[in-house]
Amino acid sequence: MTMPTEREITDAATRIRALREGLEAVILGQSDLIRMVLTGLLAGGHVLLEGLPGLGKTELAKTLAALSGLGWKRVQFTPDLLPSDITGTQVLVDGQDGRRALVFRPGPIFAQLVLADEINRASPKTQSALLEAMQERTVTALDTTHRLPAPFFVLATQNPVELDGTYPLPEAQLDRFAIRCQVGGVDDDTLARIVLAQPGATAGPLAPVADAPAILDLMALTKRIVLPEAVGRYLARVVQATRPEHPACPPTVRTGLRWGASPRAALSLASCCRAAALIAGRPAVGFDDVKALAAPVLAHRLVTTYEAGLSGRTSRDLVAEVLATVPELQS
Amino acid sequence: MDLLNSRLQRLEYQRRAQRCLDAGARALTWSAGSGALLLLGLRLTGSTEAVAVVVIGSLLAPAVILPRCWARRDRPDQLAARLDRLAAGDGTIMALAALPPADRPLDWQARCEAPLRNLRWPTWSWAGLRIPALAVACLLVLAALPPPAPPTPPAQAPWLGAVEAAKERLAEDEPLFKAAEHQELVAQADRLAGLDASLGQAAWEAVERLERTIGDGEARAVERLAQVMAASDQAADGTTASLADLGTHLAALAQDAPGLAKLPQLDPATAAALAAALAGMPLDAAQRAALAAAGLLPAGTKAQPVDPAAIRRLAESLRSAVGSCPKPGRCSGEALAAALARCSSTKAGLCAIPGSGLGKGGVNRGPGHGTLALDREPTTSPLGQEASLSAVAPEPEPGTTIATLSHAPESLAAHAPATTATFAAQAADARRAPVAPRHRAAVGRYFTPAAPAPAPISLPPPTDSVIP
Repeated sequence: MTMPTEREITDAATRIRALREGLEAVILGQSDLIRMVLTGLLAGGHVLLEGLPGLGKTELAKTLAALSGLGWKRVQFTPDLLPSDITGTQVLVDGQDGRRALVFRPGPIFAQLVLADEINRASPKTQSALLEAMQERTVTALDTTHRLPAPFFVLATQNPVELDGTYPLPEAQLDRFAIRCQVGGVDDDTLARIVLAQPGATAGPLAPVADAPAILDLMALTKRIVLPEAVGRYLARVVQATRPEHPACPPTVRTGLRWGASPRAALSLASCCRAAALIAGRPAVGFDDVKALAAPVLAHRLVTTYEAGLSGRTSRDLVAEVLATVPELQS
Repeated sequence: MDLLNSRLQRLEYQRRAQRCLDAGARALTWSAGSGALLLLGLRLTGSTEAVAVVVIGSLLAPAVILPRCWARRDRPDQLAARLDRLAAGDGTIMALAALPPADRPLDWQARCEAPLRNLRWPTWSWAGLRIPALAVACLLVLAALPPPAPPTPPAQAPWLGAVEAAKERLAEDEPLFKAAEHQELVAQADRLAGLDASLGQAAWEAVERLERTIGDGEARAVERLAQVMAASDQAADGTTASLADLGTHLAALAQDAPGLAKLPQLDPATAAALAAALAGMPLDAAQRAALAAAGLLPAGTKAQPVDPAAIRRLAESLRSAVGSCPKPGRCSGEALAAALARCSSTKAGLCAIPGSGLGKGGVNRGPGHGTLALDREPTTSPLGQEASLSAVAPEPEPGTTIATLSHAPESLAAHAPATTATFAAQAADARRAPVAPRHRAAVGRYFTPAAPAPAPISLPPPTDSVIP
């Protein structure tokens, strides 16, 4: 795979900048969140947005779908939602020849951008319906496997405070998300701009600045971003240091973590770093990309111990300790 | 060579040099520190031969590891990563460095050219040289120290000077003593010279006793000589009794101070006349043997009557010969003059040896004290029986009786005024006595005239008392 040329990077950066600026024009004061969502999209992963209601998570998904030109579906997850409500099911239809037949009717998962709103309100059985789709990009109904459209991007949201009647996502499900973003509030000026600029609190129809092929091109270009050997080794050391059984794991992390990051997490981190480099207009990944994305990519995959919970240390804090411990360069 | 490769090569050289510097500094710390310790040991043992070898070896030892450090190289990806960080390449330089120079995209090379040209090279780290510099300084200081001074001889015992003076005095006074007595005194002086320095007070007392013994011998010899001279003067009167006294005193001189009795300047005629006179005198065998040993009474000399004129010439010659004896020692001078005057005013036989009486000579140990005489037969004084001390004893065993004085209480009371009267005169002698330094102040206060009057004499019990 050849190193992308400067022109390719420049063109891609221009398109990404248009997409980002369009998002920032609608979702005010959330530039970091927007960059993370775009990073997950270009990396071919899925993004889990975690935040209180009313912070614009759903609006972000809708705006992204509108600007990117991707076909999108929204699934509001509720406790009585069934897997077939997501994946689709076979229904009995009358054929043109008068004969009846079972025909597969795709569910809302068959979209390029799926907004899984409040995903933790669905039962684990229903949540598991997303596993194959998010990892394999396929859906198996009865004996038939259906391929999902490309690109396939799941943007899920969950509320971290209203936990009654919710089902926390299992580790396997969390591992499917490339990035988990904490959606925070906005500052005073931004809130004033929101109130003044959008009295109806909803965005009007947006003209797309890209389309599915363009997104696919960007994703293909992301894969050509060079991950230098030194950066790759550093990334691997960081991921390994999150495993309590690994010798390089810092003592504080060893006592704070039960399970570390998986190789899939390392692959996700590498892909996200490539996407971040592309968004920044660079042909290669740098050490700073790894540092910036380690917490969003790795933190939700780590299982902390009871002691860490008692001491108030979150998985993000432990990832920060790993980054502070692992040197970038080897002597 | 393109710019990226040249920068990579320069960075690699600098890192290898810095690595050599750091490793050399660490090695120099160990080698110089070890060398300094070794040098310290050598200095303590007094050896100076291996100093140069240790210094040179310690300074050159780190050079052994330098080739190995220089041969160690960074991995290419790590080197490129360092260059990328220096140039703020954000991975671009790493990506380019991983490609062969011909395959590197020109556009990205052009973009990286400016950062590579304006590269800010890492500064050399000299902080690691502080400790080795300190170790080297210690090593050089230890090497520059002068060689150790030869061991100082052990401090001489403070009484050795007095012992040497006593030995010189003994050598000078050899004619004044009997041969056996002189040898015994010399042996005692030698034993004192070999005493341990820790025996301070006991040694001082032993030296004091030795000096008093020598002084007594000198006084005795001077007394005998004065007696002979006085007897010769009286013999000039021509009386037989005086001539007999002269013979008796000559015999006593020959017995006590055989060196003085040889009289080599006596002319042969006078010597023959003296021998003839002595042969006719009523002397016992010991006296005759002593005179014969002194050459004054050759064997076979027959007694002959002596002409009075010849006796006068004999007396004058004898006086002249005695006064100019070859090794007079202390027989001339003030002591002889005083003894001669004392003996001339009295009967020669009544001349007493100084120091043999109460309160005369030696250290005054306070009112009513008894004289501590050495090597002398017990004598009887007006105060009672004086016992003799043992011979020179450097350190008598604790509780050893060194003197006893038996007397009646009334005799002490009768002599107390006279003793007190001689107190002041004795004090001067006591101050000059060789008292151990730490006791001089106490002795001085005791004998100072301004000091309060001595306490009333507490009478000892009627039985024997012990004088410590």
